[in-house]
Amino acid sequence: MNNAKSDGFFKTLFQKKVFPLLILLIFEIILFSVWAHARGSNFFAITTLRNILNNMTFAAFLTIGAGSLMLAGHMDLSASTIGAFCGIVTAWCIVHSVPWFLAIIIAIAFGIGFGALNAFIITRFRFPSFIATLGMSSVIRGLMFFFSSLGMGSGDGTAQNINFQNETLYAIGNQKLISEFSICVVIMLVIYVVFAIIIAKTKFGTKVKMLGGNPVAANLAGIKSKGITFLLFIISGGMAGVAGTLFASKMQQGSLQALSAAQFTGLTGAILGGISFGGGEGGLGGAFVGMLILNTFTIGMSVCNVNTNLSTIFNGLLLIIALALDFFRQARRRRV
Amino acid sequence: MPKKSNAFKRFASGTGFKLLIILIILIIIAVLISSDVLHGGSPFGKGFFSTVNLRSLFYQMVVPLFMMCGLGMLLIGGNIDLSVAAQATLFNAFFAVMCRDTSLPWWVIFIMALVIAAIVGLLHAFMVLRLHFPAFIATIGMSSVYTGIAGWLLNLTNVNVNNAAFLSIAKTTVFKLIPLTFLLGVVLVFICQFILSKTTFGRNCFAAGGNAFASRLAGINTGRTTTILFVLCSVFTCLGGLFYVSQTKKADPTALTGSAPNMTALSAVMLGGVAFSGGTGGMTGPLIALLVMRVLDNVLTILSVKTYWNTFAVGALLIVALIMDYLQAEKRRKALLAAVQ
Amino acid sequence: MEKSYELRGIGKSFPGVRALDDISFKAEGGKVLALLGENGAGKSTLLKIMNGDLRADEGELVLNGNPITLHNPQEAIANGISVIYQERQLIPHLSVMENIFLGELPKTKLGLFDKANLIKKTQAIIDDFGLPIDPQEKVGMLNVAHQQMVEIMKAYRRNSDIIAYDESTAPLTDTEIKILFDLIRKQKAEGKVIIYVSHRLNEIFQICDEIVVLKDGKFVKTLETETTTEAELIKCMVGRDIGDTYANLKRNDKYGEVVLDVKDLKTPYVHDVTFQVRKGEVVGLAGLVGAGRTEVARALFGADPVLKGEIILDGKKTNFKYPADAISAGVALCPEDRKDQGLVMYRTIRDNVAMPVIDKAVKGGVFTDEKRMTELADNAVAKYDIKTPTIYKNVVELSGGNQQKVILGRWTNELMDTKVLILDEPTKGIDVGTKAEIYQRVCDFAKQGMAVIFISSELTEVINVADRIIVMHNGHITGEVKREDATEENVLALAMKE
Repeated sequence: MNNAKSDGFFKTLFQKKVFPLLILLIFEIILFSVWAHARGSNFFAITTLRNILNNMTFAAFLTIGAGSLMLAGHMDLSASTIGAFCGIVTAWCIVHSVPWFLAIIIAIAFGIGFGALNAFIITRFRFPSFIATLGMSSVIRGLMFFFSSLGMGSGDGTAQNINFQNETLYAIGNQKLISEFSICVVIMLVIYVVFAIIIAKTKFGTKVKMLGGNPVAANLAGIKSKGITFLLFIISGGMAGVAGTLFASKMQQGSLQALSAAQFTGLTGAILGGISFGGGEGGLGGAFVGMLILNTFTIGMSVCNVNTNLSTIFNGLLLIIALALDFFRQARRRRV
Repeated sequence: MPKKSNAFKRFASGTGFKLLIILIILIIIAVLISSDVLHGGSPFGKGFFSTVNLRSLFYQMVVPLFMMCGLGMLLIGGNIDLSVAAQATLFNAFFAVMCRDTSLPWWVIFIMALVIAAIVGLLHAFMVLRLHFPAFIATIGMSSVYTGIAGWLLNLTNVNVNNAAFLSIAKTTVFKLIPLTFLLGVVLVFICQFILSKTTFGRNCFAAGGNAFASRLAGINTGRTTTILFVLCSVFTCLGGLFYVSQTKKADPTALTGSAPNMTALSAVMLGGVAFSGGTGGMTGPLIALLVMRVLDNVLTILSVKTYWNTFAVGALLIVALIMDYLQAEKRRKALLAAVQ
Repeated sequence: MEKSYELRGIGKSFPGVRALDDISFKAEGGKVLALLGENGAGKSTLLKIMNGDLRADEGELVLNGNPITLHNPQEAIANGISVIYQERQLIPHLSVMENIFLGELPKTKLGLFDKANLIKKTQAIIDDFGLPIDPQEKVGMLNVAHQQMVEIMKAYRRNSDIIAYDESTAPLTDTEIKILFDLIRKQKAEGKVIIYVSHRLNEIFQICDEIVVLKDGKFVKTLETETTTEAELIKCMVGRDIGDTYANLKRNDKYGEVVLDVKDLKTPYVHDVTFQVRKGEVVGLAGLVGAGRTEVARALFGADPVLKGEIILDGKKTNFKYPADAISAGVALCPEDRKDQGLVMYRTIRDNVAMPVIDKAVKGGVFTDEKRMTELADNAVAKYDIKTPTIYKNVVELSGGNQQKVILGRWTNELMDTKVLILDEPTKGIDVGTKAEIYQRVCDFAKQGMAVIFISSELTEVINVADRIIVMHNGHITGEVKREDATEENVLALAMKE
């Protein structure tokens, strides 16, 4: 009796939030295939998929953090800044002859540290996470600029991008591993799947979703919010750290402006992927589809030679469409 | 009950007063380190109080001032708009391109830009009131729409504006020191403060932001209040943006989104005592907060500290303000508990 | 013309519950009419209909002889009907004067907000009341009693013809109550219609002329204050047929040792609470709304801070900081508000049942054991006969009764070791059939050896289901009655004891 499987695979799929998104994605692919064909270029190529994945690699790490946090009803607006900081740290370490693996570890440790700091001020002082992380992003940005000037030879303490050369890191960022896909993309896919599983299948993930769905009820059912919030911010900071380190590796530069666009792409992907802003619903799988939709759009636009400004506009509109979808779903629910 | 001292007591216990003291201390420090006053000279003429320094300080504050007015009132009414920087970029682009491609007089285009701003405000109000979108996500989304349109209009390059009459707006100074645009911004702050404290509309904003249900119960049309606030926010942003064009003689597709004057404005609003949850605060607090932030920046510059410490200081100030809020709330809660016992 | 407000055949249903049924009475000008009834008798719903917050399904409202339709509270206010809400509708950051004149702030000739005039007008009102309140003080800075008086001033300012006071004296001290009563007498003399809702019988006798008694959403009778007695009133409020529901309950009669021993418990909300619960015993907590029953439950569950006193569980002194601590020690709580505190509405039945044992239903240390969770939920569905096609349905789609069963299923699933089960208003908003089911469950829990604390505002229910009834009033225990001795009259008398 009580078995969802008896409903049939398609019916179950149809009821999922992801379903309209998959339709949207397929629609996009058809649209761009036809469009590109008409323009004499080819959308259906492995390079297109490579470009899409390359384009979303760094934002995807931020989606992991943003998505998990939003499930629990939180938000981290400092993630991209943390990422840039970690990139600078990586570069700084390499320039100061720290072995590459140690540089990565140190950089990611910084990310985790900032995540923990965010978590501390949010749980200790009960700040709205939105404001607290906004403030922290300024603090971290300031520190990053300072750090980038530290002992960099220029002497006058000017903040600067740090260029470096390291073959291993270059390889991690650029070398193709499977077919057209670089090591960096594969790392992203693996880590993403791991976190998708953590959120979907582990007790931690279940608690996150219950907490986001109704924090009061979750507390009264024995779920302690503090530890979970801490862990989520640490994941967010850590993932931002990974993104920043990989970005620096790929570019062979610690850039002060790194990932600045990825912040909202990550957030948009999560919302588009059906993670309700109020928390509690959705998962990282949906967020991934959301990211695919966003990036297929961007790449499709470029394959079809559409102005980049238009793709910026459509990026924004996609977020509005995502909100509208959520609105109509909730409106239907209200009627029930 | 001692009624006479109440007004002063209220001011003295408010955020504005604390900020004012900080501001005065900062200015004294700035003067001491930058002028010849320690060597028996005059505090004026050189350093902080020099014409050059003050004028650049004032010019820097124009855009955040205008944005602050709209954002502050919006926040008091219980809403937020994170797209103001993108909006300004769009209105600027519109203005510059229209000036270049049409022969309309500049003030006609100026008014058209303001009308478009009002429509943008209406659109945001519609999304928040009718479609129940969370204001800050929706405005983040619209942000990239506006940036995109601006980039498309400008073709991602700077478009120069060389209408002499228009450019003279920003050039005009009072006493050869205070730019007209800055003065207008300050006047706008006081107008907003006046609206908030002296008109029934203003009081209704506080009511709507404080307890929307109770306000509706008392017959206040909270939807109308919210709509007006969104429209004002966009219109003020447009004014600030166009003055920036007048000042820099061009519309730039990235200048405003890059330097994030909206974040400066938002930080000033919150430092100045407007609670994020709405319903409390005023406009003089944010004005003093903005001055504090800018003077602090100035002091750091005079000390030859790198500009990035300013970024750091803004964030740190915000966090400190939040912690102080928390401690105050905690004290009140403890007092309440003690009273119960 | 004579003022009056009449209700004719008012009826209102909520999903699964008949809240009001054919209520008719007339409140006349120059008289104070009391609305009296137990918790859940339908007074609040009736008030909401009378001021347009809710629409009646049947019947009509007649104002001064003319039928009217109210779509929202604003229309009621425009028609001269003011309700002073039990939950104060004030804006804490605005001043006293602005709160009082909200929506109708005076303007100067220039259209500006006329502060001087407002201070004057407000001061006049405050002087009428004779209270030491500064018109310019922020409402949030006032004490609760003065806040309540500001709420009353709001209605006074509107000079409405029809004024309803909903439990207005609850946060007041004697000084303010006296002021309020003087005000009501004055309003009565002016020929206004006054409706006074209160649990406090002595107040009703002091101030009211007529008393309308409601019970289970039905009109019972109208009494004249002059010719009635307290005992008669109480009888009117409780007198109802007690069906076979209770007689057929299979209850537990073998009690074990003391499981829960509460000594001098003090929290910010309750004082000197001392009682014991034995294994296999059902202890009822009775009292009026706000008596502190829920607060005792929350303190036992680690959800509210304990300031003083001891909670001893199984002979061990406990110190629960979080509900999680209480749960692992074997205490469980079904909160009074299913929707806001009990369930995660947009998650499945399965997730809601397994919520407290997420840490136990695991495989490989970290992964949720989906099979185990499904099993738990399937068993709960079977055991409590929860009506649903699948355990993968979100609980929001279930009826109130089935939602409550999901919570019961949560605390009694196989991975839980519940020793003390606290049920806070478990039958609120639930239809009669399911109520009977839940009563039997409560007795079954006792039979299985749990100590059960049963909190309910429905007197009949508490005195018939519980083996022993502890009565609370105003944060204190006012008495204890055994089931054999319990009558609704003596329990109600304790609950209203000053």
